Amino acid sequence: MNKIKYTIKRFFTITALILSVSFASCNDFFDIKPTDIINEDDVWSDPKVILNVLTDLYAKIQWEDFGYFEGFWVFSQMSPSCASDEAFPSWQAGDFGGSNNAQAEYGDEWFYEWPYDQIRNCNVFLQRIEHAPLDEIDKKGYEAEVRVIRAFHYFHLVKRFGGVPLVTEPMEYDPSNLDSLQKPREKEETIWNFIRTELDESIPELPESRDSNMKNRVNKYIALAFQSRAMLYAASIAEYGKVELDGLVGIEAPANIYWKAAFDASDAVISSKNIPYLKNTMTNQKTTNSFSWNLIMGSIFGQKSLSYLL
Amino acid sequence: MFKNILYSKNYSNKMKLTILLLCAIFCQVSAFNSYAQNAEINLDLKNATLLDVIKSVEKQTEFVFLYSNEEINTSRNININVTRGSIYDVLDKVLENYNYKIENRQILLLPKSAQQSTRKITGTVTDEWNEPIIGANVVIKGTLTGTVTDLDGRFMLDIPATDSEVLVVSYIGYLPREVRVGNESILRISIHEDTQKLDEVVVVGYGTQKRVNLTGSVASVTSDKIIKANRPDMSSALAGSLPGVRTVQKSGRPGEDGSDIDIRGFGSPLTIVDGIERPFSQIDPNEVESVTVLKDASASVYGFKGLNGVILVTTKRGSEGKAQISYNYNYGIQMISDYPKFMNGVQYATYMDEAFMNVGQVPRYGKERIAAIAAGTDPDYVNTDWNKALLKNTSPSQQHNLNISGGNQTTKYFMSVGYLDQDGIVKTDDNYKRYNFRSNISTVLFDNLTVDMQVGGRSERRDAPNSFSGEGEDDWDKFAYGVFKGLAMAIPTYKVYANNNHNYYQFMNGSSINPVAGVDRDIVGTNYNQYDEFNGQFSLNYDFPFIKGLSAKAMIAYDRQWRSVKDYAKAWSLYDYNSVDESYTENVQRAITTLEEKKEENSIFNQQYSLTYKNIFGKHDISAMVLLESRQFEHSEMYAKGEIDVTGLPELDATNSANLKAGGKSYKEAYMGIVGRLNYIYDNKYLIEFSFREDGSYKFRKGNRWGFFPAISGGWRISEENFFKENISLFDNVKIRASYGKVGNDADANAANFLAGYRYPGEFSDFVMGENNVLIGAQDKGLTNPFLTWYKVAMTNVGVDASVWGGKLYMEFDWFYRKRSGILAERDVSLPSIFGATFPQENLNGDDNRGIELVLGTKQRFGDWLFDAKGTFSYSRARNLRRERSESGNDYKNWRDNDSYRWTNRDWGYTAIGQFQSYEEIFNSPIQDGQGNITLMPGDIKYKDINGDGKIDDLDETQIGRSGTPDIFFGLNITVAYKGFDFTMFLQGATNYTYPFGYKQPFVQGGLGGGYEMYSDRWHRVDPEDLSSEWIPGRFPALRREGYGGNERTSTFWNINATYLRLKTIDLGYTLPKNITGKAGIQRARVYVNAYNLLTFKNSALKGVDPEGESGYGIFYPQMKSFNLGVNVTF
Repeated sequence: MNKIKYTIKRFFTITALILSVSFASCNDFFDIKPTDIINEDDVWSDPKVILNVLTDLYAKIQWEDFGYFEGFWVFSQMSPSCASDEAFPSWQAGDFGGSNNAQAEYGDEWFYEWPYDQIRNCNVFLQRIEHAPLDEIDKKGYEAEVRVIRAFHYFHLVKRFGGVPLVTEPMEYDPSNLDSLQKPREKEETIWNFIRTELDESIPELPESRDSNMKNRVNKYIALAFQSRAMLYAASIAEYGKVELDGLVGIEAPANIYWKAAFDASDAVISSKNIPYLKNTMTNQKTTNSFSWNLIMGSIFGQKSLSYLL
Repeated sequence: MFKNILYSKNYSNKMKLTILLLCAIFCQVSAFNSYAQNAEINLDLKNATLLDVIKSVEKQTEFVFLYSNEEINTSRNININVTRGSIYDVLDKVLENYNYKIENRQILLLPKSAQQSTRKITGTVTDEWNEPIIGANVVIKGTLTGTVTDLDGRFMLDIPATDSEVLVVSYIGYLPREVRVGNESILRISIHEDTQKLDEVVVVGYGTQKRVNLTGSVASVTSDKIIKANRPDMSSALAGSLPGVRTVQKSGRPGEDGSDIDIRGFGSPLTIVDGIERPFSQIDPNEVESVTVLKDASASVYGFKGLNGVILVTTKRGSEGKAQISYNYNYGIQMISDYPKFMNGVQYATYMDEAFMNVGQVPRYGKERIAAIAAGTDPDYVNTDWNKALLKNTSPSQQHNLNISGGNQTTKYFMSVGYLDQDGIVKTDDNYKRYNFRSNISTVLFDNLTVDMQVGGRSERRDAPNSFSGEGEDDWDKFAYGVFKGLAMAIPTYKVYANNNHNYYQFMNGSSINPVAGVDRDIVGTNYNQYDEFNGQFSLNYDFPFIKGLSAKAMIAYDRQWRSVKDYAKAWSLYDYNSVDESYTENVQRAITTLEEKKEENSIFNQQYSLTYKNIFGKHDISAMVLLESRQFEHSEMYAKGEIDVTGLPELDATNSANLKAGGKSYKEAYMGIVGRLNYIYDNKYLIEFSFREDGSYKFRKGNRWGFFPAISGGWRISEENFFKENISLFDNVKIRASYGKVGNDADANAANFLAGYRYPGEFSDFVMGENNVLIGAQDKGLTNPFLTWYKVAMTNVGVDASVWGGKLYMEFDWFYRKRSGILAERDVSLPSIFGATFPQENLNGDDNRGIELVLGTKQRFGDWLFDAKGTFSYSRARNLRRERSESGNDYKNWRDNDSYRWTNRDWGYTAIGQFQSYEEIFNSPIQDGQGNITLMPGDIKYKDINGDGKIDDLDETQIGRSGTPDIFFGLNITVAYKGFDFTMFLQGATNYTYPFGYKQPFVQGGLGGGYEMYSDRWHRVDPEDLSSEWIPGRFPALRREGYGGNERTSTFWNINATYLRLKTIDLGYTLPKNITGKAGIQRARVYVNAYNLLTFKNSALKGVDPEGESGYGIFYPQMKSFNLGVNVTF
């Protein structure tokens, strides 16, 4: 009888021990943090991780020159600029491509992906950077950078489609009000003006140069070079293009605003003497309707800008 | 001992002597002691001594006791209450330390400690037809002493010379019987077959239940049938014995030739081994005692994981009795069962030329060259048969198993070790080895505490050449893809070796890669893959002494799984021979030798604690259980990949450290659940069961984690009702049952779907920020769904079981319906594209599944013949309910695209009304090619213009049949036994579906690869060079190099009716006679021959195609058939 009592007691003690150890807290048991996702709040309270978010924004810009790839194989590295030694995408750190024959033929597929998810990411960034634990200067700097990136996306869009819906805030999903999500296309002019004003407001906040380990990020002169290129496109369209579809295509306003903006931007770059190797190719700028040599930005990598024959 | 009688007070010396003599005489006589049997005794004594009992008995009866005074126990510790009992009842109850002998009316008491003499008894054991039972166990109850009946059912045993001995007679498949020996010397014992196995205890979810009391749809198979299938793995061993369970083998590669298991068309089921969730396919079948399948709401006790049914595997435990040592050996020869033959060089050249000429182009080879190829005299081209060059005719496999089991009253054990060695059919070393072990020990301490320890594990090793194609989708076997794609793409006019020099493999232009080179381990490298698994579990089961029927159990289990892969991909080249300067031109296939090592580990910890109560109060049979279970799973993996500059040792230390890449990740899972169950049986007729599971999963947010899954089932054993018994005595068991339960499923949900955050590293998110500064991007995960939860499933099942003539004929019928709702889908289609994000998973879709199962079986015995047949028939079909999609633009599109509320297994395609017989017909038919039919030739497939608009386009597509998995499948299992021979046959088949024939073009990949020999049966001109000659019809359309898109459309031409019947197993064995084997100390020895996948009866149009296999065009590892020889020996 005593043996039995002893066994029972022992049994219950062991069970209780096991139970208490294993089920210390039911909810802790299920609290498994995913190993490949950083919590939203953790991201926006850590300046280092914010930089990683910015990295993602940069990585997803689709430059035709470097971001287009032939066919389905993303890693075929056959973007137009790879066809010569002109330049190659920044993510190709290391040896120049693995492709022996970079050829481009008529009929090859060159993908352009609908960029509104990236525009959304930029919008989310701009929304959240306001409350991030950073100095005002840093905040303004990030903000400016991302606005330039966003302007890039709109530039690629307006070049192809003319007027597009202008989304500057991340859209909220409200199941009872789905109609509010259906934005119509803006006029083409609106988008070009948006690009112009975004750049105008961002350029003062951007640094003139960065350390070598951050030199591939947007700085003042890169933004200026971009503005110059974009404004040249706009000016051309305003000057020589036709207004159709109620302003969805074409620019009504006189082209002068845009010629001037292009000129001013280029001027600012040239007079800053920040592009050493272009000394040979520069000629007079004229604010005339004639075609002029200009800096047309082919990449925002580094201070080396490229000149194109249009 | 007998001298003591002389000292007894009650008898004079003369009497004592007489008694002594009488004893001696009567000892050997088997008298029928009727007095002892019939005398009735009533006793009600408390705290009495043995003497009191003796006196009382002597007073009531004519019995007289003989004993020694000194040795009579005088303690007052006997409590006895017997009403109209026999003398045996009394003596068994009071005599702890004595044996007794009854001679007529004299009872002799002999102390147990005294030296006992033994006497011989003999007897025969027969069944209810008086047929002798060979090999029945006859054991003295309470001891290990026993024997086994011989060929005539006879046995001989030395038992202690008392009357209190009881023999326990048992034999598999029969109800055991206890027989009191009394003072008899020759016994005739008959035991009855347990035909219905009504008393069979079946393993169910978290417990066991008698088969007769089951209310759910549960099918089970025991070890003897599993072993007969003779498969190296468990999943294929289940083929066909279980209604509603379909097993289909997808690949024939050693180690990967397990079968996919599907219950009722639901999908992959949960697998449980010894109560813990584990993979079961590669467990040695010799270790397994039984497999139970829960098909309906009986699986809802498994909560989140039970929706597709559950497979419960229980390993052997050992039983009371002499230790049994068994050794099983199996040697097999495997061959390809269904695989297309590729064209050889001459055929390829001939047909390729014809293809060119068919479209008016100049032939590539020309008649003279083809003749030269055939003669072997052509300088450039040869006649290679790549099938022969790459595949063996047969490949061997062998399997050994040694297991030991036994035990006594308190301890039982089972131990097993097994070894499997299987080679592949490709001409290289592609080998699979598997080592299994298991040890199950159970012992009882302190009378009511049972301790169980089960340890098992295995190691699986695959050693193969490094398949030269690193491609292949995730689900494909990379080796099979590499090898068989190589085979399909190899053009047969190329040599295998350049210049026939075995040091140089021939280079092939285009997309072909020399397949024989691709499997040469010395050239391309090796891939070594090892998987180890360890299962350990420990449990304590305590029967409460003061509350009868209450017991508690605690079990903890720890499993580990390791996988380690070593992929050594060598740099290699193919060569072209330049006969001019006798040199070999190198063509590099892989420039750098790389080594990649990957290691993955899983750690799983399970706990189960339960309280069970079982008791019977008169007509009420109650059992209840509460159980708490938790499961924690951790996964971690690491890999490193480097380049080896100089062909040296395949170790990571030997790689170039500059390019060494490494990575890894880990994750965890956690589940917890509470199970409750209550069973109530009234009067053995009315059965009812309630159960519930409250289950929690880590995948969902706090607040949405737990699900409650109840189930209810009931049954009515009509056959036990009096009105039934009296009037319809034909049926010995009829039961009606029904069940309804809810389960859930979280398998498709992405863990942490509810967590808003950034994925790190992001995908394609790296960016070079500056010099020497590459940063990794953190990518926004997108919208989250905090309300995400499991999807809900409700299962209904109604069934009838009946058997007649004592179980000689039986049937089971089930109807089921399963409905799922809240299946995860993304709501992408409804958001405008400028939103910039996609919806997270939500619980949106639904589907349902319904079907029936029918089992008919019989068990007959005619003299020495035993016949056992069981046929199963299953039907199951699924239908979509709500499907998330945006509205279609018009009615037609809605009919075409909207698959909501429609069957899932419909196929859309064209209706083929024949093949064009002539150009005249071609130009008078609706336009099929958008170009006025000018690209068509006689023999091309003619489609029906459904909408009559004069052209054949996708508007002419209709539902042409049922695709993929068949709705109806059936099986037949037959066993015949005669004396020492046993014969088993198992067939499986399916119908009511179409199989999409994959060989729609004559040459592989648009003419880049080899060709299919089956295309020799094609439409062609009598003289291919003469465009005006007559056409000869054939099965396939006329040849074109790249195939012809118009012929490749999905249509009734290619979707072939795939009704088939496959002889999956046929087994013939012979058990050697006992008198021969007995001399070597062998209890049982059986030899057998066995064939697997021997024959398939199918539509002749499917020649070379396996109707159970993946539809493809030759790029898969073919299924095998095999012939086996084996032996089972038990000592």
